[in-house]
Amino acid sequence: MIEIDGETDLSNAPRFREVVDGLLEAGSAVVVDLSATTFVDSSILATLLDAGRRTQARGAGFAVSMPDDTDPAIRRVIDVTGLETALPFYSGLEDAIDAARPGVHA
Amino acid sequence: MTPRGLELVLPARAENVAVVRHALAGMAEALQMDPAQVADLKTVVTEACMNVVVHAYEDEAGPMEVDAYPDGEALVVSVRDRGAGIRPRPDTSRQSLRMGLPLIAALSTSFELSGAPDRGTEVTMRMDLSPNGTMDAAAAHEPAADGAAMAMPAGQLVGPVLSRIISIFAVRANFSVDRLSDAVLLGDAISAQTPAHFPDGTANVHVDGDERALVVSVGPMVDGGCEEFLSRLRIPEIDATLEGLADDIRVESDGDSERLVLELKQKS
Repeated sequence: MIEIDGETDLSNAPRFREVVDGLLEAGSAVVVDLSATTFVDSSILATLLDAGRRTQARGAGFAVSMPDDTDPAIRRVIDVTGLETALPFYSGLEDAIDAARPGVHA
Repeated sequence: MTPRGLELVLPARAENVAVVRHALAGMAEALQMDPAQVADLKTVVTEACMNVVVHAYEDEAGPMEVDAYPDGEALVVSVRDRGAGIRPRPDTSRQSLRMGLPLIAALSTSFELSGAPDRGTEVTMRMDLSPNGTMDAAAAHEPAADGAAMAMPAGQLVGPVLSRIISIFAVRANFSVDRLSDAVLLGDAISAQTPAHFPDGTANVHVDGDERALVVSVGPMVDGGCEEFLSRLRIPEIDATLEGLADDIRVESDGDSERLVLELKQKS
């Protein structure tokens, strides 16, 4: 699971990508938790989208947790870019983890 | 010269963008922008700055200049570099969403982009200080009428424009070459009318074509205007009237006004 804390932008995107790479190498599913995120830019969104594609291409589970009390700024950017239709979003961490678990397909 | 607002200059590196973001957020909060506006501001200024970081300079990070100042009911933010200018390039790495400019367009009230190879790039974004309103889905709209509606001051420019539009629709109506030239002659006759012959001196012409016919309508006209317009239409080259070219000529009125409708069928 990857928890994105606080503000993130292009300067953090490589690190984000590395963490995803690590999980993929370990054959793990990937769950991204946005509950503590306060800012993302388009490079973070691109990394998120890419992580979803690569994880799913390997047949592993992928989910994003964005609870109702996620920072409105994050909800706003996700909404404006239409990312909710491109990736599996869940409003609770438990739901996201369950959905990404191997053998379970959303 | 006293700055009219905040002026920041710093090296165009990714980690410096947070400095710009926080400085501007502080200014916006002091100007009492509401939290949603501040969030949008942080997004647009980050995207504009990241464009400089990624695209402006080849080797060393050159300067990134950010100006921010209140202007009436808005906050204006300008991000500038002295680098390469805008160069469209396909993104072969698939790392980028190319969402930066669309995000700026979506979240700012208006923006202006300028650039040249020797002048660098500048993006200036205007953020209204009062709330943007909600992001509800676009209100339901009326479907557009078929065909093309054009309006221009009557005069020399009408001819070339109208003949191009008529040609495209005539091709859609599968017109033969002969019939196409009839249609263009018709357009020429309409275009040749002087400003005095059109209401308000404006040539209002609607063109539509399907596999059946080309329909050109002129108007709105005042009562009786269609008859008068029709009587004055002459084809300059052959001095014939439209009766020879159009298969159907009629006046359509909707109570307030009337339109002169000329229909050319595919086969004469």
